[in-house]
Amino acid sequence: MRLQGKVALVTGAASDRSIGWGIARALAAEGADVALNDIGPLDALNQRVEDLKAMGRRGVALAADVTQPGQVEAMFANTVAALGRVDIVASNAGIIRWEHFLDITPTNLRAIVNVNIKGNVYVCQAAARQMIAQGDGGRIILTSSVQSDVQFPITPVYGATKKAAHTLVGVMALELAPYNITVNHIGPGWVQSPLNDISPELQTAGGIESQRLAVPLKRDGYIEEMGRAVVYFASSNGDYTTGSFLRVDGGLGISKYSDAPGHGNNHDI
Amino acid sequence: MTFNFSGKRAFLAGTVNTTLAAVGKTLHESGAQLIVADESPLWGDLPREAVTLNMHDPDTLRPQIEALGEINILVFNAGWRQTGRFLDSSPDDWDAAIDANFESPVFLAQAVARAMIARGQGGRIIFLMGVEGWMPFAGTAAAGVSLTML
Repeated sequence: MRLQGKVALVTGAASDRSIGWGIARALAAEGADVALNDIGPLDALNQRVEDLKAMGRRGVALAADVTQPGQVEAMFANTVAALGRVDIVASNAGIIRWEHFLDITPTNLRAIVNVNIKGNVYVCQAAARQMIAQGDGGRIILTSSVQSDVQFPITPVYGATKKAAHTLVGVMALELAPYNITVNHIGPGWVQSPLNDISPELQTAGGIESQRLAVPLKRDGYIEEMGRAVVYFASSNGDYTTGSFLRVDGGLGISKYSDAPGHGNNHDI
Repeated sequence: MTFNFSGKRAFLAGTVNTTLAAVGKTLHESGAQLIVADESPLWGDLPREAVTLNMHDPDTLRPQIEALGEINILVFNAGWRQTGRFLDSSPDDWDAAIDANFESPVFLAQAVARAMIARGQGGRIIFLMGVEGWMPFAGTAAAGVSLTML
């Protein structure tokens, strides 16, 4: 139990197929109590809290829109009220849209940027302020993507926000180091989470098989595997790690531009 | 090093500073005709055509770009550079940075690229960025993140 007595907050965690839930469950498995956030559906979020309680952990459901600073502030206040403090924040909420660069619309661009950039900013600011007030450090972990390392077609704005997550993490790591707050990010590859449900290339058995073949380890990633990467950063194992990026993608990122048979470059994350 | 841009039309947009002005001067001296999105004393006596564009609405921007005629080169200077502690950055700061360094250049490049494709002559799109977009520096969160996005 590496996180006994710690309190974590995870955004984007309502669905039992979400990376956010994988993170929450991995943190809880190591002993952490967990505040769960999502913008919806709330019945699913409440069910996840029941799942946490079944694991013997405390949990609380926090419906909030991370793009609204006031709601984010209230989310942290409610976490402290319910669980006492905040030691670990997994800023995981994110959205994706598939469209070519020439077809990017203001609506989609702003929606993606609002959640993937501003949402992370507001959550991380509130997290850092709470941790600084507590006075004994903390851990902030963002969920970015393999797209933080390599670019994929059809997701230009999503990819831009995920690449920029590395800069955001780096600046925060520098500025929050004096408070012993570490800031890192994980880069999931292909996970069959709700985020990818409408991926154009994952709508057929053939598309899924093509995606599988594109991954050197020949399978999708499991949400628990994303969670265990977060646990590394959140636990004492990650004491000396800040400003870092950990791809958890079965090798997808390093294979994207490979000419080896079975590797491809047309895949969505 | 000398260049020959005779017969080429270059569009200069984004923050007008000494860097963008120097780019304009080099392009002019190499034979390019200049179109600028913003007037500034920094352009000096460079011959230029000044235009006003709406860079926030592609549906408005595209006909504006098409009306400019052939554009062979687009140079956009992403010049929002406010500094300050991450914890002190406000939603307005982030809006301003993302607007200046990401949204506007994306929609402008999109419109210019469409026009270049329609003319079938190819083209050059160049963004003037900043080292903040390549590596993190304390005090540059909004600038760095918006530049990395671009």
